[in-house]
Amino acid sequence: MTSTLLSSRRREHAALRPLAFALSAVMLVGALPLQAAHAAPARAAVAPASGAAPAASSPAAVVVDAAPAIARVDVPEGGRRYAFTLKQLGARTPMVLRGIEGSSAVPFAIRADEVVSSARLTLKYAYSPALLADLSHINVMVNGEVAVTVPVPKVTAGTNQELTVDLPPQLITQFNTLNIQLIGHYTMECEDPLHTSLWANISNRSVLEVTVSPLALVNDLSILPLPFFDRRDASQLRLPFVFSNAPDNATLEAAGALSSWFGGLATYRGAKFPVSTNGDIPAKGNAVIVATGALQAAGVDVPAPNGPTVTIVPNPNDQFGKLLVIGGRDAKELKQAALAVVTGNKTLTGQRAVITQMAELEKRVPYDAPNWLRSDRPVKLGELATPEVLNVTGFSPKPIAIDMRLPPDLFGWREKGVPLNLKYRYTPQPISTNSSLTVGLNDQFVKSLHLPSVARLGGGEGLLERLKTDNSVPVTDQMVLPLQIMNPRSQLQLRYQYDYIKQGECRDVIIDNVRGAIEPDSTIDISSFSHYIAMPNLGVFNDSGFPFTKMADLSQTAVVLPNNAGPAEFSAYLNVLGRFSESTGYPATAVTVVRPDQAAAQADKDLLVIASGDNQPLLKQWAKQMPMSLDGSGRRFELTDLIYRTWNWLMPNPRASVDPARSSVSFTTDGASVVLVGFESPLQEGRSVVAISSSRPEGLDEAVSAMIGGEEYPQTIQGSVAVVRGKQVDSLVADQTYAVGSLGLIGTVQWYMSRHPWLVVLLGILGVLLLCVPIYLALRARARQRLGS
Amino acid sequence: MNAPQPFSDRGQPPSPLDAKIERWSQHPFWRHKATSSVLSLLAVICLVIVVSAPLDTVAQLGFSLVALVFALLLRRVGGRLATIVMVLISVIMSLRYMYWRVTSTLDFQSWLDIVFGYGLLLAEIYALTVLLLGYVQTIWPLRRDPVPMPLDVDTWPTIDIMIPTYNEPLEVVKLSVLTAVSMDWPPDRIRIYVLDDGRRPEFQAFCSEIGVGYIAREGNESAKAGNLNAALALTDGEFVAVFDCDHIPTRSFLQISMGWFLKEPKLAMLQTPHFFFSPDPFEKNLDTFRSVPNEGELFYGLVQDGNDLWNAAFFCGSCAVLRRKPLMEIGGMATETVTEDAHTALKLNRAGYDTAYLAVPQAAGLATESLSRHIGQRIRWARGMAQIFRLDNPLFGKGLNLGQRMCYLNAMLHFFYGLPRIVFLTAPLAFLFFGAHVFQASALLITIYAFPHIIHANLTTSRMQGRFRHSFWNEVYESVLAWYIMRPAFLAIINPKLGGFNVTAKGGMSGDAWFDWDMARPYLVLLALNLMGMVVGIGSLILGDHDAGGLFTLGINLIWTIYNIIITSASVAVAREERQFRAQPRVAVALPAMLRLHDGKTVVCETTDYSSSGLGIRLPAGFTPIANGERLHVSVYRGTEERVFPAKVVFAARDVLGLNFESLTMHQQIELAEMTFARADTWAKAWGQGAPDTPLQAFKEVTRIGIHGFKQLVTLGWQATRQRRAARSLKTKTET
Repeated sequence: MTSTLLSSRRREHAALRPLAFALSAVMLVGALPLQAAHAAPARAAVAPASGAAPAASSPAAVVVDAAPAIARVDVPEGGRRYAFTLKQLGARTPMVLRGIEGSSAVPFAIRADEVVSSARLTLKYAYSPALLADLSHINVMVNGEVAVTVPVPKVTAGTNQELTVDLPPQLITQFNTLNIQLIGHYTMECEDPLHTSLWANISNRSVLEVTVSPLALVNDLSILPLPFFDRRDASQLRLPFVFSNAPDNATLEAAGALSSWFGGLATYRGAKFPVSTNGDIPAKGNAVIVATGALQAAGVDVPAPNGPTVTIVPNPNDQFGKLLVIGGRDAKELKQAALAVVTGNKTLTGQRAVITQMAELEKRVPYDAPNWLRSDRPVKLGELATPEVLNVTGFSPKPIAIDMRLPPDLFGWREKGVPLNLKYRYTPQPISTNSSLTVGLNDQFVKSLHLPSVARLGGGEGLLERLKTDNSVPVTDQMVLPLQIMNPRSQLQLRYQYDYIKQGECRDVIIDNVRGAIEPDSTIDISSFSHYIAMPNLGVFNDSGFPFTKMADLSQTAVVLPNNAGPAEFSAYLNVLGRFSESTGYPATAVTVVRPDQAAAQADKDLLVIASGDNQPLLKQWAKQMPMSLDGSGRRFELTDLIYRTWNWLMPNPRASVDPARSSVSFTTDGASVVLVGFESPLQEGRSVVAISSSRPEGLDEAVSAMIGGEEYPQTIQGSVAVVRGKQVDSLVADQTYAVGSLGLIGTVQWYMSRHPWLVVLLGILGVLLLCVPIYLALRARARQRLGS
Repeated sequence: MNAPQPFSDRGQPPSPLDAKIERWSQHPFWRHKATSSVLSLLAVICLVIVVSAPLDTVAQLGFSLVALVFALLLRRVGGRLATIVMVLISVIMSLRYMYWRVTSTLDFQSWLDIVFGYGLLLAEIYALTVLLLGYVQTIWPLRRDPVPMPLDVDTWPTIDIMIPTYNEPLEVVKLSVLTAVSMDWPPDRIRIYVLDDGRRPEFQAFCSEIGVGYIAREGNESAKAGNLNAALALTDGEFVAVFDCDHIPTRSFLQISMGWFLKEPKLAMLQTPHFFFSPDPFEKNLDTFRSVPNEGELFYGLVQDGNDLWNAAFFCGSCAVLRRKPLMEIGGMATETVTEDAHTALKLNRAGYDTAYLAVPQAAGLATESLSRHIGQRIRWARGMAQIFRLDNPLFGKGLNLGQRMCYLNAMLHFFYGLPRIVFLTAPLAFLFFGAHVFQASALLITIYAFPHIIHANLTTSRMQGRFRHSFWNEVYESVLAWYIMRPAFLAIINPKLGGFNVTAKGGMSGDAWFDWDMARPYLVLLALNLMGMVVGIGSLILGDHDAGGLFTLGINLIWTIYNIIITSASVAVAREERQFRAQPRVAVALPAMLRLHDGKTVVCETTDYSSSGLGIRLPAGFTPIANGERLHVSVYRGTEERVFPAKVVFAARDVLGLNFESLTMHQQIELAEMTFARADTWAKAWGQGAPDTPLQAFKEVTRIGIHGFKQLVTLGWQATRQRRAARSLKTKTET
């Protein structure tokens, strides 16, 4: 298993990209190694700060649940108040401001359907006793404008201070930067700008409180996905789906396309789609309604559609909420309307759109998920990151982080690794000894590239020639990223670090003129790898939705829902599809939904089976083929243990550890647990089944939460069987019984032979024995012919 | 040799394993035509999988050990089947190595590594190709026996014997003509011609005196080939036998070699071995005459016999018989290249005629007497073969079967060993001097892949060639010549006209031993480089900070360097020319003889050696000494035949006499040749009598010679410096 990409889960990287984008958009000068906020830090069970006591009221409870990262309370007059700590905003560690002009920044954003009415910063800080009080101060800046200046008097130097300041709300827009800057001086003459006594420390427990008022947006489809999804909002997306009655398979397919679209948009935030099947419109917030025929409910009046129709109407229960109504005369038209939203939302305008003509969707090919690194050709880094990300400024800028999702089934056996052809430019220092560009992958060191100074480059004409267009030197370097440390979610980290050589007293003037850039046409290439992975492997299912996401539109996926499926099963289905799209970045436009009795017709697809209680006959039918049996309350597992052995002493190649020792583990679960099981499809060889089974319908939501994961989940879903109990995930590794993908004839034979060295010896002996006699006879015949006998 | 009988070599019983396979192959199962093809196809699939199966370190080690055990067991089993199995094992191990080498060790990062790494790889691919072609070539030496001539002498064909000469002294040519005259063949069907490109009157006089033809032509166009072609135009015998003027045929030559021509009408050329009764420079300077097989023995002992199986035995310019008709059909001797002999054979084969090789030495000659001449000759061969490779490549063109193409190809590729040999002699230096990693793999992996390849190749080669070339001697022979043949061979590929290269022959009759500094220069450089590499390596070993892997890498490179030092030192030893002290070639053979003293006494004795001018005699113990200068008659016997020659004692010791013949008539000279050089059995007795190879013993021998050479070099170098210093001080003195 180690031979394929390790599938451990790395949420922070996924989270980093959007934030990094937001950061770069406002050109930060921070020296802080910015690590993005975890998508879901400790679930905020924050007591309300003032006034309202929402704990008792259910809408408030819903709000808290939906925004796990950030304390968010409703305040009177329909407003809300958010309280972010700087840590939640991205300052993983306390900000340390150094030098005469040290600064650090965090981003924050305000939803499009909210306006800021007031903002307050509770600053927890300390500063150096060496600071000259009359010259030094700390600036709090919002979007580059000074909001408040904090003095640094001698008397309170060196102690922890707390100061609450109001920030002018008019400075706050949708995307914002909160920048804290130290202007520090310790002497009047001949100052060393990097003197160690120039410091101030801003605690990342400092709190930014923002009170907002809701804002009713226009009913216009052109702003989709607003207001249903707002990328300014870092909290988990929660979007109810409403059906007027129990939906049929085609309706579910339409809903699945929508939920996966939203799931793809939500990315690191995670998305959940509660389902109502009785047409109840939620009391608060937004919802998606998928229904045929006219929709007549309290306050809602959507006329009967005469074709695939998309409508946006206000939520009758909440003046600030919106409803996205997907309508049609039949389920087929519903699906067309849904596809129009997920693939053509940029062309929809007005409050109501009737889809008269749909461009045929292009046929997908395997592994073409937009989020995945292409495996058919080398990929330019410019395709993976914006120029803003690839350019950095300063002596020690934050690392250039490029997120990559790799197909999880890359077969790395006997491959050197992933070739990276790095082209970069930098400002050569006049003299320096230690400037370098460090290449890292997933926080692990790969290679350090020396950045020679002008003196080392030889100065003179040759260099000038090379500097014609830019004051930076283009360099190319080839390297190989070790596949062992590559995950399906990987981050390439390129960090410029410039050596600053002090000139001596009174001569140090720091001119911040150093730049570094990664050329967008640097390439990374995974096209030489085969796609092959031993299964079952819930790790890759959890990370990337593999093998279902091999076709990004899920055209090779059939979801088997129980006959008597209810809101919990539907919700689980929508949630899981949302997860898949989070990985692929493409909506599930071709997923098939079936019921158990229709499953046989879908033999040539990978099956996702959702079950609660006893309602899935397929799982009983397939009990023998499964690595565990689900018989009533006592569940039996027959598995190898979890210990993952790599006999790596002399073997340079990591390889599947097929541990022959089997042990029977009896596993009695209480009613609350959910089990995820992966196994080969009993209907067809080489096809996979993943079953999500809970003893009761509500349990399914726990499985989805565990898949979305977060800090509160110490373990991730792995192996062939995973049991989720609350926040506890137990994964068990059974023998990997089959493999998906292909190595080609030669690759298959070589892979088999490498695992059976004795067979190689036997084949060798056999080959020699078989060959020596014909050779002997042929040569003898030839000799006799030559001698004429 | 009837079909059901087991195949055997020269009357020897087949080995038990071969006997078993012969019995087993009588089973009807093997009669089916498809049986062999199907089995071979299956086997080839198996072996392709085996060759390409990637194994990890432990598995590869295990695999190699199993193969080694099999090979070591098979070594003890005689016979051809065991040889075939050993070849197959060796091929598997070598191809496995090369597959691994090409797929897993070429991930070079720096230009230094790329240059050295690919350079070494190309050298290795060359060596592997030559190894594999060599296996094809020699897997089943044909070893034909002579076919007896029919009893009816009237059916015997007419033969022209041609002895081309250019600048050789009459003394040398004389002996060949004398023995040719005494050849057993109906006199009306044999004509002897001396083809004198030197147009020397004394040759003409000698020829008319002895009654053989003399042919001279205008100009010297196309050298020897042109000379022969000119003579072919003037003569009309059905067959042509060619002898270099320094090759002395035995009287039985024609009777032994003509039988095959009568049996096989398509046979166009039959070659017999070149046998040398004097030591070549290697044998002379390393003192290995008749104890270690010399450079030529591999070719005449094994390669030509192997070629013969594939109908690719080729003409070597002398000691061969050609059928005139096919020869004229292809336009006479080939003149396009400087190795007209091999090219003529290639043309005959292309024209659909057969060639054959008969490993019965029926002529003997003088080996090249000095290293510089030897090198000059090899340069000509290398250049000529490269010319054929370029102009008439055996891989392409009509008329050849696959086996012939392989054999000719190997014969030509062989002469490109110059550069690869030098690459191998310097490869570890790339690491020791520059730290270049010519392999992108751990030293441990290299060891467990490369060593099986080398060990099996050596074991198998030793088994196949053991009687004709000892292990490691190949390296010595090639290293000496590598530098010199490298340039002509490659130049001839670029343009066949290029690469002409003259080595000034020095020495000749040199009274003293001397060191040929000019010839030795390339290996002195190689030796110095390797010594430096060793010093650097040992220094790094002592002073450097290495982890286990680094130590292993360093160790491997050091061992390789030390091996190279041994080989180059042995090459240096060859450049020390031992002194030559006889004008006439002398053959050490004990023949029954009798002395008739002037007082009428007769003494039965035997010879110790003979030449065309005298005899060495061993006297019976306790015989009264004979005085120096005494005149006597000496009788030499062949069977019951007796010939008497007048002689004079020129050297007398207690039981050894040196005799010089006195004023022999032409008739007596012919009789003397009949009694000595032309004896049918002289050379055959000494043929293939070399000690069989044991690799360890051979390595010890080469090492001993290497050390000896190294010591000599130090002494000589010291002397030379002292002389130069003395000369300089003398010069300074005269100036002051």
